Amino acid sequence: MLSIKNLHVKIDDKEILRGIDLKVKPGEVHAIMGPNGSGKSTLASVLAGNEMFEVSEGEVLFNGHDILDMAPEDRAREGLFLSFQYPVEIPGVSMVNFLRTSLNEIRKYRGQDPISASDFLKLMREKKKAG
Amino acid sequence: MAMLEPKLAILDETDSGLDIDALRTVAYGVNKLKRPDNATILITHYQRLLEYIIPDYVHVLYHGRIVKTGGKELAHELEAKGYDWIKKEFEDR
Repeated sequence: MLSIKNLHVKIDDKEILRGIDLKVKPGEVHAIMGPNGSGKSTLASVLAGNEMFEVSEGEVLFNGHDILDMAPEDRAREGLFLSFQYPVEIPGVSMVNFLRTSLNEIRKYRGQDPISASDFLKLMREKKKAG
Repeated sequence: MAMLEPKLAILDETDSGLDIDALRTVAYGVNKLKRPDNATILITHYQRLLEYIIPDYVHVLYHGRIVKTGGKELAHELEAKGYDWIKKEFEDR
């Protein structure tokens, strides 16, 4: 599913990731631990497509696609998800609208019709019950 | 996450700033969404989250490299010994 090979990442000419190799298969849970400043969050940001970081070497394949040249939104459409440590709220955008827009972007990418507000709320209630 | 059904979810220190109850709620949600066709990467400082979400693999990142990989027992070892022994072992590389 995910294959990281010899990933090197720099920010302002400072090398933060110095050759990461990691393979994640479907069904697996991987934990990444390490002291402060070891590069944990940098790795997450680079996978999601944060442009602050410069990838100087290596490759990242996600479902067989090289995602390093893909925009963050296209990575998300392919099924990659990053939760933020400290999420920011966009004033005027409710969580429900935010989620529905995200879901509809993914549906559009898969060639499905957008989901209506009422169907979305119904789906949300069902998921909540199942959880 | 439940709504978007990602294939790969990366949780970046979701546990920081959460109390025990909130941590359990998050862990319950993550476990519930686990399927044979999706995967999760948990980024965490502490072993505590891994009491609730049992990882298949634990990787230790230090100075921009994965210096150690193990099972969930590696997380216990880190909790007991801290990171100093990792730093000592790998500081010149």
